[in-house]
Amino acid sequence: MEFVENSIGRLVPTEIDGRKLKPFKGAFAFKPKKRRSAFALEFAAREKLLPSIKDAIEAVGFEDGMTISFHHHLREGDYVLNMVLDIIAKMGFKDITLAASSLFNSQSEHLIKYIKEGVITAIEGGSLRGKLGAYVTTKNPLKKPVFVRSHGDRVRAIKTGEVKIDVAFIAAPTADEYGNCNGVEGKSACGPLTYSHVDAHYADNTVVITDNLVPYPATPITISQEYVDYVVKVDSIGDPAKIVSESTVITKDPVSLLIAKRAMKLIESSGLLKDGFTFQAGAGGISLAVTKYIHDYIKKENIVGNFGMGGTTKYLVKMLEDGVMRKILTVQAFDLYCIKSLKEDYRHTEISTSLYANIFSKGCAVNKLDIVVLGATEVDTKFNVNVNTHSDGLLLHPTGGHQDTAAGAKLTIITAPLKRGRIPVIVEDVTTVTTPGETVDAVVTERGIAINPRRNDLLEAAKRKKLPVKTIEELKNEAYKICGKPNPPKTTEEIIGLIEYRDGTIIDVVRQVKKNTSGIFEKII
Amino acid sequence: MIKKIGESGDVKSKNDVYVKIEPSDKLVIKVETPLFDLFGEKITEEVKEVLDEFNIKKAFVTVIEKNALDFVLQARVEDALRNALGERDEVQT
Amino acid sequence: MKFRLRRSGLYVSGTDTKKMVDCGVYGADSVVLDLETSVPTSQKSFARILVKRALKKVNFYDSEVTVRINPIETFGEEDLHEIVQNKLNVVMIPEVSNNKTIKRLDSLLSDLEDERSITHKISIIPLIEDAIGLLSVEKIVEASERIVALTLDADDYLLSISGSRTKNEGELIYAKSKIVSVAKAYGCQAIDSVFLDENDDEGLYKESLAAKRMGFDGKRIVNPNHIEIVHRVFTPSLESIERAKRIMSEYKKNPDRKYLFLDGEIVRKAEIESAKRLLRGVF
Repeated sequence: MEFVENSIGRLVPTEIDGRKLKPFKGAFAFKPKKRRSAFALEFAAREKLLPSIKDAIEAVGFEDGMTISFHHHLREGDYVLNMVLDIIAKMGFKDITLAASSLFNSQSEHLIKYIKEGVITAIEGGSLRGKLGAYVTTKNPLKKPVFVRSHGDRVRAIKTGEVKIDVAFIAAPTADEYGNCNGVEGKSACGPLTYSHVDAHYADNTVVITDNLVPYPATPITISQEYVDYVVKVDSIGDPAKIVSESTVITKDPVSLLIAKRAMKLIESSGLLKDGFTFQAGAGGISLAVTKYIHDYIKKENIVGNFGMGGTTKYLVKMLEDGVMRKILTVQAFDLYCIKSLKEDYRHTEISTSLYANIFSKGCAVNKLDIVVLGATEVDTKFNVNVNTHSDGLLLHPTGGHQDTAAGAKLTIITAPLKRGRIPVIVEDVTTVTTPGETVDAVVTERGIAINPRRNDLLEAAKRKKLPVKTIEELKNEAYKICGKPNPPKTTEEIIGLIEYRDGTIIDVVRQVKKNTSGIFEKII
Repeated sequence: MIKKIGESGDVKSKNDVYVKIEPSDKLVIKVETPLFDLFGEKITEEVKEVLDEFNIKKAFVTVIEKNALDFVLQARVEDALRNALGERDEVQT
Repeated sequence: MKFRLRRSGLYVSGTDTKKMVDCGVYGADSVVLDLETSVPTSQKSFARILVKRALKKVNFYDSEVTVRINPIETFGEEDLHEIVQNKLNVVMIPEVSNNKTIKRLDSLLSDLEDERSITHKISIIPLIEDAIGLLSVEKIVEASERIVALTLDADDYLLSISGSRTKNEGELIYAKSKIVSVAKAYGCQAIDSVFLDENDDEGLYKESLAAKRMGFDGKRIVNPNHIEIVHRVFTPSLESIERAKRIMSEYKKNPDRKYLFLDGEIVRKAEIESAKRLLRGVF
C-alpha cells in the first residue's frame, strides 16, 4: 500500500481496494464541481405492503455483496437493524456491506456474530461503538477498512455515488401503506427521520419497516412515498425507553460545571451573543449546562437568537418556549420533550442531514452558526481534535456533526477536562485526527482556556475579561505533569479505519491495535 | 522484611488501585490495567519507586489498577507495604 | 501571623482518590483534606498516606492547604508525623476542650518544622465541639500564636449538650456568638460550621447570610458548586473596602492622634479595628 503525507502531517493511503483516495489538504481546500447526480426512476403504481421483511428482501432481488443502509434515530432502542440482519443471515446471504449512519452497543453482539460468519464484510460511514469497535480495531476482521464519516460527509458520499446503497431499510415510527413516513407519531417515536432522506432518495431500493401503520396518507410526510418500494409492518421497531430519554439532565459534576461556566464566559467575551445570534451545543453534560447558561444570560439581556440547532434536548426547546430563540432546526431528538415540540410547534423544524451539513450543496445550515460547543476525547497542541478513538487507539465513537459544525461556526469551542482519570486529554499529538485545528478556536478545560493563535481577537477579548488563559502548550505540560506522558497504542501495519473529512479527503487512519491489559515485571535478585 | 500479606484498596473501585504485597524470593510486579499499553511501564516504575523508598528488594506485588493517578497508586503500594511489614497491627477497632 | 481570606473551606475526604487532584481548581480560599470524620477507622492509615503524597504531588493553585487531623488522643500524632511538610499551611484539630491539646500540638509542630526544615510556621485552627471547649475558648486561643481562626462543630456541640438542630439555629446562638467574640478579640477569624447538604443552595445561602451577620468570616462546605454562593455572601462589599481604605489612609497620617475624623465625623475605635482587619484580609 502506498502512503502520502496529508496537509496536517498524517500518513494516509492513496488507494484502497481499487478506490482512489484523496489526502486531506485543508478544511476549505476542496471545491466540488457544479453537477447533480441523478437517481433511477421507475413506476410504482403497485401494492407496496408486504407481509414480512423476508418478503421485502426477496422482492427487491437481494443478492450477495449488496450494500444495505439504516438510520440511527432509534439509537440504543433500535430493533430493526438486528431483525433485518437476522433474516438476511438466515436466508444465507453473504458479503454484505453495512452503510448505517451510525451503530450502537445494542447491535454489537449481532454485528460481531455476522462479521465472524462472513455475512457482513465491510462497514461504511457512521462509526463503530463499544464492543464492536474494540473487536474490529483489535481483530481486523473486515475485508476493507471502515470508512468513518461525519453527518455531512455521509450525504456527500452517497450523493456522489462513492457509497452505492442497494437497499435502504428505514425504521419508521409511523407509515402508511404507500411508504410515506415520519418519526413524530407512534409508540416508537424518535422525532426526526433526517438521516434517511439521502438513503431514500439515492438507494436502488427502499424498504420502510414500521410498527404503526396508519391510514393513507401518513402526515407529516418526512420521507415521501415517491422513494419507497415496499412497506412492512412489524410488532415493534424499538424499545421506547432506549430510543430517547425521559428527560435529559444537566450534570452536577463540579469539574464539568466549572468548564461550562468558563465556556460561557468565553462566549460572552466573544461579543457574538447579540440579537439574532445562532448556536449549537451537543447533548453531553457540559453542553447542556452551557445551553442553560446561555438561556439565563440572554433572557436577562433581552437578546433573542435566530436559531438553535441540534442534537436537540429539552433545554434548547425551553429557549424556544421562553421566547429567547426564534427557531429550532433539529437533526436528532434526544428526549420526549423535544419530540413533542417538533410535532406541535411550527417554529421547530426537522432538517435533513444534507441541509444540515453537506458541503456538496448550495449551502448548508452549519455555515449559519455563530457558536458551537463540542466535546473531545483528545485535543493536541495544534488544536486538532479527536472524537473517534481513545488514547488506546480503539475506534469507539462516531464523528457526528463535529467536523461540519467546527468548520461552519464562527466560534468553535471545545470543552473537555484536562484529563480523564490518568489519561491526558490535552496531548502533544492526538491519537487520531477527526477535526483539524484550523477549524477550532478555543479549548476550555477546568485548568485554563487555550485559544488558537489564529484568533488574536478572541485572545485579546478573553484577556480583557481576565479569563484564565493559558497556551495550549502549558495545558499539555500540565496534563503530562499530572498524568505522565502515555505511550502510543501498540499497532500493526494493518489499517482498519479511514477517517474521512467532510469533503471526502482522508484526514487520518486507524490501525489495528494490539491491546494488552496486563503484564509482569520480574527481577530475580 | 515482608512478614505477611499486605493489601490495600478494593478491586471494584474506579479511579483507584488494589495492591497486594506478598513475601517472595525475587522481585515480581504484576500489573493489570486497561491502560497497560499507555502506562504499563510507568506504573511498574512507580511501584518500584515505593519499594525502593523502603529498601525492599524482594516481594511479589499484584496491582489491579483502574485509571488512578500516580500518587494514588503509590499511596496504595505504601499502605499495602507497611501492612506487610507489620506496621498496622496495633490499630484498635 | 499571615492573614488571608478564608471565606470558603472546601472539604475533601482523605480517602477520595478521585476528587483530591481537582480540589484546587475551583478557587476555594482553603481546601481541607480530612483525616477525621469522613474516614472510617479501617482506612485511617491509608488516608494519611494518601494525603501525605497528595500534598507532594497535587497542584492546589491559590488555595490554602489545610489538613484536619484526628484528635490528639487518638490518631492525631500519627497523622502529624505522616503529613507535616512544606506544602501544609494549616492543621485543623478537632475535639479541642482545653489548652493542653493546643500546647501539645504547637510543640509537635515546632519539632517537626525543625526536623523537616519547613520554611514557614504552620497555622492552627481549633474545632470547638463541646461545652467545656466553649467555656475554655479564651485559654485555647491564648495557648498558641499559631491559631489563625476558630470554628465550631455544630452537630457535635449540640450532641454534647443534648440539644438538637433546627433550621433557624436558635439553639446555637450562644456558642456561635462566643466563638466570634473571642476570635475577633484575639485578632483571629471566625469560621462557621460545615454545610453538608450538597443540593440545598437556598439553605446554604440563608445559613451563610446569618453567619455573616454574626461576624463570621467564612464557612466550610463539601460541594465545590457552593463556593460561588459562599464567596458572594462573605466577600466584603466594595463600599466597605473603599471606606476601610480611606480610614486607614487617614489613620496612617497620624497614628497617635486622639481623634480620627472622616467627612467631619469621628471614626470610632471599633471601626478603625474593623478596617485594619478588613484590609489585611483583602489581597
